[in-house]
Amino acid sequence: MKSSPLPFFTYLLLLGGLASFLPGGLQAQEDIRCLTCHGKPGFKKTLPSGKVLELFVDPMQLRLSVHKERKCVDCHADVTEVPHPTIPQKVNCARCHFLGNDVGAPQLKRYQEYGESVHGKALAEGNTKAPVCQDCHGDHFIFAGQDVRSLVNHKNIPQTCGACHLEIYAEFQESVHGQALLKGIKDAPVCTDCHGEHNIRKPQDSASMVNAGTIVNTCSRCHAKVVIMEKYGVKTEQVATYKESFHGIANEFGMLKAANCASCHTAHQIYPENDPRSTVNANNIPKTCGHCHPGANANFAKGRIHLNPKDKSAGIVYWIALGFKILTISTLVALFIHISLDLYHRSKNRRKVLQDSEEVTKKVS
Amino acid sequence: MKLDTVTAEALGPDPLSSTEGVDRMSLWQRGEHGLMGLSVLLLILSGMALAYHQQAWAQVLIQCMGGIAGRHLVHRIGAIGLLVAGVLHLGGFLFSQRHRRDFGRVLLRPSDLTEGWRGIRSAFSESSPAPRYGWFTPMQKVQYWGVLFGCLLMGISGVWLWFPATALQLFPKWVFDAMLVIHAKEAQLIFVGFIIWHLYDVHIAGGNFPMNPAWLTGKMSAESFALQHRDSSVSGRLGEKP
Repeated sequence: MKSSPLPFFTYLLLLGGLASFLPGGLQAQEDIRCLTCHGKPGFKKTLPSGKVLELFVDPMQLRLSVHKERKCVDCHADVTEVPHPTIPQKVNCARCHFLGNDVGAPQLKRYQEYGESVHGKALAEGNTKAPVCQDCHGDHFIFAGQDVRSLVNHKNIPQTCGACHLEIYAEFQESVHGQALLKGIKDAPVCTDCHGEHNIRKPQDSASMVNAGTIVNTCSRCHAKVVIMEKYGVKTEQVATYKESFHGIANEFGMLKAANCASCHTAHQIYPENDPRSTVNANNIPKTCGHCHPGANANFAKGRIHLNPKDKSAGIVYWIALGFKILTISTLVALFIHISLDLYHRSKNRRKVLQDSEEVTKKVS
Repeated sequence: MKLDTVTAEALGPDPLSSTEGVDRMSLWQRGEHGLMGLSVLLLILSGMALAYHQQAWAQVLIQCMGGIAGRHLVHRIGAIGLLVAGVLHLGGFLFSQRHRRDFGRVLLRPSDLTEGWRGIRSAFSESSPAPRYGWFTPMQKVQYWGVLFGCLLMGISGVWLWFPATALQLFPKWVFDAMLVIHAKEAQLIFVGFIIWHLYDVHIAGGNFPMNPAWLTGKMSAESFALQHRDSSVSGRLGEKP
């Protein structure tokens, strides 16, 4: 595809004119030199290795993004000559995004967290596929996270992560969370809600949000909140009942082999209970429980899980609990009466003994 | 039932005539009681730590027992202790005439209801006739049967909780849930109904303060016996109808 030179120069002139009115107008005029080549649609270069580098940059993208006031060489700082004698390096965002920078680039702790994360560590170990800032945030087309055009906007996160994590992306899309997101439900969790953003760690890492020791907390952030769950008819007592169960108590006290939310519901293939694909569907319960309890059979599914003995829906368990409650309260009342009678009887005896001794004293005197 | 009319020769000298007091508990019974008391203490401490795991004091208890796995171990040691006490109890019944006699005396009779009622009435009115309780008071009998059935219930439901996977393979999950709630609630009932009540009775009630020594020495004074059992008229063969 070859573009005619006239519209391209017209475009550059227009951009120059427009850019001079923008706050970053001066920078934009300086960028015109770069755009002589990089502004040509389809501009690319084939490396000796055969790899093709797409080098076209839509200047309007940059002007609309959060970096609208930056000029090309602010980021591509190693570019000093045209044509470039060596291939310019990948942009290092930390040039500006460091604590105490004087250009006003936002710098929070979370940027440093990347170095500790599974992605940052992989990069440090020399994994060339490890994602860097641009892989998630984009390069010239960077917007604030709240902006729907941002690659890291809530609704775009699964696609952004899915660019590398393809299989999990497919699983997530089908899941109850993925389907909710497709329906435009803003409460639906995306990858970062459970895994974190810059602090993503391996599930085996105790600092990970999806570690066996932390996952209950992570799921509870939404599933224990009535304001969120009541909108979708999901019970919040599932969290409380889990925490009261043997699995929950063992987990609380650091016995991490005990089942947590994801052990039964899986991490990404979460479906409603009545969905035959769900691991907690009655038909699949023996297999799900069987992961930890070999020999689990259909009996495991005959009864409710996440049972609340205080709720009538618990059936026989509710009635047994109620019966014992009545029995215990009656026993307490009887104990109270027993103690009162005993004390009354003893005080009466003591009075009698005192009276008798007084009479004896009188008689003697 | 002839159990409570065991011959006098088999029982030796009349306990009431003895200067040492009334012979209430044999060494066997004291051992059984001690083992049961110790086991129940372990069971209560480790059980309450689990039931109230969100409370700070329970978390301290769990830490003291070496974490949640240590708590499980303590609870199971207590369970085995209680089981052994149960076996001793059964053994006493099988091999000791005295224990069979005591068992006969602890059986509930209609007179327990009438005498118990009389006891309550006489507490209020001096003109009411005093009750005659016998070797075991109606309250002691109720406590014995409460503890016996309580332990059986705790033992049976405890087996479910000890071997959850096997229990779930053999019985539906709702049975497991029922066993769990029985175990937890029965524990509460035993604690308030039997432990607190019993401790009040043997340490405070009926002039027992600081304690009724029978659980250590096997004997209690004839005066205390007469006062608490309202039965000074009959000789050592107490429990028989006057």
